Amino acid sequence: MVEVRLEHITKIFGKTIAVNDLNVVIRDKEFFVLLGPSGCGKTTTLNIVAGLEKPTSGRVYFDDEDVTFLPPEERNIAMVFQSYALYPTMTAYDNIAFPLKIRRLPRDEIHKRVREVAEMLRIEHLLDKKPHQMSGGERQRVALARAIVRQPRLFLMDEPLSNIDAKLRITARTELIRLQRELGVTTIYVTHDQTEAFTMGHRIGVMFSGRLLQVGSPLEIFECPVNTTVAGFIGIPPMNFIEGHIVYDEGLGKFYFKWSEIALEVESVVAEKAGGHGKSVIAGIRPQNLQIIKGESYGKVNLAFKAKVYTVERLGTESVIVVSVGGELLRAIAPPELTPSLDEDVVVKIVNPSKVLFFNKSTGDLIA
Amino acid sequence: MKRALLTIGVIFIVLWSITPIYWALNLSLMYHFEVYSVPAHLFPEHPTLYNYLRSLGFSVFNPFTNRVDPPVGYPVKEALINSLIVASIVSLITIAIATPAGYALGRYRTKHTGLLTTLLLGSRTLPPVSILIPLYVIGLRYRLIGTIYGISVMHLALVLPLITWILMGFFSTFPSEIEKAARIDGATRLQAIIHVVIPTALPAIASAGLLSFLFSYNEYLFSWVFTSGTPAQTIQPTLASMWFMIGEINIMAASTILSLIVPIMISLYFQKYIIQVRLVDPYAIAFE
Repeated sequence: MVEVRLEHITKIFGKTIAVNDLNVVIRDKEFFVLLGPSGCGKTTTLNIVAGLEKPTSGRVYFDDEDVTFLPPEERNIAMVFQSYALYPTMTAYDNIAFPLKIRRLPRDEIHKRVREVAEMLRIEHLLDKKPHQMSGGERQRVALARAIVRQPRLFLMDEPLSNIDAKLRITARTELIRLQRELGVTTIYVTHDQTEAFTMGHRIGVMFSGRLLQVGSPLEIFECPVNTTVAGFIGIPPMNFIEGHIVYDEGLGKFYFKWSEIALEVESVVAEKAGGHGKSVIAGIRPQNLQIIKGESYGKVNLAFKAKVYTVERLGTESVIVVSVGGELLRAIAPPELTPSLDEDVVVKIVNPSKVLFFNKSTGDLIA
Repeated sequence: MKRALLTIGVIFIVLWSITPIYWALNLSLMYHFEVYSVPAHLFPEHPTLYNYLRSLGFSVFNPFTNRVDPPVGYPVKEALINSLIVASIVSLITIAIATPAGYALGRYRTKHTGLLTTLLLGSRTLPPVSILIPLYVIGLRYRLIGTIYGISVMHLALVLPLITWILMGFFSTFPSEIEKAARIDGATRLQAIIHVVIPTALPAIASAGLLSFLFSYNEYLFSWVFTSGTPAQTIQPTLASMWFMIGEINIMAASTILSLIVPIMISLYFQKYIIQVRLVDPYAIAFE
């Protein structure tokens, strides 16, 4: 069990900055998820924590020990790869026993531990098989067993669920959550899948282009994304961004949409921070907070504007309706019964106006 | 229709390849008088091991001429043994050197890799024939002529670059995650290589060994120049020089078949290790 501290970690490959001044503290026993799109540097960061790569600058600490240049075999960590990286010439038993054999544990001790772990993950029947004789899910469990059997102080996982089919992925996710909570081992989990991040992590670190943009609990990141990049990445369907400007008049702030006359009341705090009179901002409204109303009730409804239906995506439990307005496309979630036709004129109402977020137009940062 | 043509084509090619060997086998089991019979015998009427025994250096009694015939005047047995020894030495040393070299070049790309590769393969861009005479002079100076040691060195110089290059290509596509997993599991780099990489790369290494063995065994030019007439004479020059025995073609046939036995057996044995190796260059082009 260990607290992992990354200080000013930077990694440069030739001309590319893969990881840019990353600072984070991962708490003991925490399930920490590094979330980000492909190529954002999360795997590189994981490799640095593992010791497979050395940072160009910066330091890695396990508790108070500086392990930056310690080789991986001495860090007492375990890693599960996306491709599982099982040793193809060895049976499952030998795969799991390998880390123990390398450490020269006595044979009966090895046997005992392998059996224990195999029982925990329900793979006893696979112990004599070789990797190519097993299914993806089975291989993943053997890879997990190999990681657990050493009782390491840190788990590193690099998208371990991406190679499993969707249905199995859900059960595997549940088992992983349970396992981590039971074993209480600090875990750093890398993924590009939001759902995994949100369901499994205690805290999430969102990475983009080598930078760690925000660290927080899933709820914090959802409700208070620190800039438009994070806000646009988190949430399915993604957040709608609407340009407009804020007018701050006598203690009352109003946000005017670019293409509409409606004004959204804005907290004075926000309006002040927006830089006063007439400042351009971007409003972020989640599809869940846009409601489609059919019919003529336009004039009577507060905070509503007209739009044309662009597409309708039916998901069974709900529908995603994409509307076009002012030359832009916005997404709204609607109940399944609502079935507008293409190019139909509808009215879109903003519900939960307090949940609308405002971002600085030039920097993309959250205001207030 | 296409299917039929394909099958005919395959049968044709198989027959084309097998027929000479079959015929040699056939002749090798016959006494001399049967060889030129008309119509040709597809199967020896009086099969015998007479030719094999004579090739291997024994005097054999010929029941049809009631005479004891002397052993063949060419050192077939010695040449076979020499070839086997040379080929074994060459293939073992090649594996021992090309595997770590190919691994180092293939896995760790540095700014020097391009230069090293060019140097490595550069030696093979020259047709070996063109450096034959200078090499002979060097051979005389360093007493490489007429020794097993000498011809092994020559073969190694010819074989190592290409085999290293093939293994380099293989290791560059080798999944590095297995090594990473081993290192995280606590193995040092060397332990990871020994316990994980090499067993997994065994098909490639076995292929490398087989290729180098066959190359050395089949090699004619350098073997002839450097060993013919000496106790280190290898089998290919020996067989070639036996063409003067065209009068006793059944003995030639027997010697030839004898020279095929070991390569065929070794190839068959190594087949099971060679599952899937992507060779970057067909060896038929690069080798003589």
